[in-house]
Amino acid sequence: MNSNAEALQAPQAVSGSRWPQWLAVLGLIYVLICAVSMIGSGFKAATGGQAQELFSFASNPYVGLVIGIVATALIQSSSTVTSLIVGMVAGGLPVGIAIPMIMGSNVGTTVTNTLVSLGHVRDKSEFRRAFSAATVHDFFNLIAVAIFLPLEIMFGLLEKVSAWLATLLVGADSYSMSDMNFVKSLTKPFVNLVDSVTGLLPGAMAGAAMVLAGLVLIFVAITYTGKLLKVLMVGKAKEVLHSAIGRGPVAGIASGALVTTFVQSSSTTTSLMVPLAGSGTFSLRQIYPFMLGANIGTTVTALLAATAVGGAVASSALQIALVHLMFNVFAVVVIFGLPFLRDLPIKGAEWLADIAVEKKIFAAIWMLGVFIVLPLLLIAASMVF
Amino acid sequence: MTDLEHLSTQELKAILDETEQRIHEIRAELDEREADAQHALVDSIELSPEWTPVKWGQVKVFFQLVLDELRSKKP
Repeated sequence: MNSNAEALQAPQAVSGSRWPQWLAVLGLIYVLICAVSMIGSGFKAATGGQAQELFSFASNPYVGLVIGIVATALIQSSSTVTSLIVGMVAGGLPVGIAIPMIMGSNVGTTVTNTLVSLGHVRDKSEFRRAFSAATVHDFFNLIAVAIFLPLEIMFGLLEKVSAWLATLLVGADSYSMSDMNFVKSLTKPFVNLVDSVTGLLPGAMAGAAMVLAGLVLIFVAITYTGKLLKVLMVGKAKEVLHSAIGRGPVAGIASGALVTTFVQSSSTTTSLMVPLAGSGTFSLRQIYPFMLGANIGTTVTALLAATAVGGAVASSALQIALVHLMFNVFAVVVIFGLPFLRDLPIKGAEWLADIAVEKKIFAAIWMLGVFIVLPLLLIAASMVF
Repeated sequence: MTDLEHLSTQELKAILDETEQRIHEIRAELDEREADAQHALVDSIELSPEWTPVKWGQVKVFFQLVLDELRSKKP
């Protein structure tokens, strides 16, 4: 175990030289918060305060869901998409329209670890284990949407609970908070600087340019924060994983949430787990809770992004970030908490892996079906009905 | 095992206790070995700034194998 100990101690030994990297992380978080603020201002300017009318096509929840799935699957970063959604809500997009998008981003993010599992295709047993470890995440997130989207359409469950919680945290009318918003006062100079440049463009183009610049900055900030945190937090992440070994599912969920918070990317953490399952050292039942924890850990980014928003829309921005958190917490409580639902994702993943091992086309059909065909079918169905 | 009927109830209970104890020890040993293997695997995780989860070359190989599989099914 000497090499193990050395591996854990290595990051600490050079921690003195890591201050520049930590400062860079802080700088990138600042850029992320500014970018979300820019998207809010730009979206408001571009839509002329008519975001609801502009996004009326997405008022159908299935269309919103598809937007979330496709955008996240293409960008392969749910953090980027949820931060963008927070910015758009700050710019006037109604929370009710944004909720299905948030649910969709949860589904879309699972494409990454499913792609990772395809790399194990050459060995049948390894592929069965890796593919089932990846698709257990797919099945869980699809079941979560199947339960919570109808509940949202019928009762507005997440919208109501998140509104209550957001009001509790920042107040219903946050005009009173605007002067005290410390983060907003920090980001204002940066946002104003970009605004003065994009403001040279005519009319709505200025707002659109601001949104585009914000989107690029969110992507850059999240990508580079992830790169830095992978190096800075790998030791801590290993410690958390070590401490969860042999301690049951609750520890698995907690470790998944913590490690994802450390590296700010659920794609990174879930993709790391797939080869561990593929090797056969970790069972599907041991990997499953970790994947659920990753869903919860990734919601920290949207909460962080919501701190960028001040004024009257601060409550709405926080509300949509809380929707992301609560959707994932509720899904774990309901699906993992209820014994008759708990094993459904495992059974689905094992069934799919068994047939995909025999005929690889089924793995391809699953990939294309969930992330391309299903979204298109949902759009077609929404147009018919 | 055919001599079980010749053993006293006390002797049978003693054998049963010993066997249960042994099974418990074996399970504990297997759990420990599994945990050791998992700790070793966690230690082998390496993350660099250049690390990316998806290796597109491997994805391409997968779809190539799918195509090969489909072609081989054709008469």
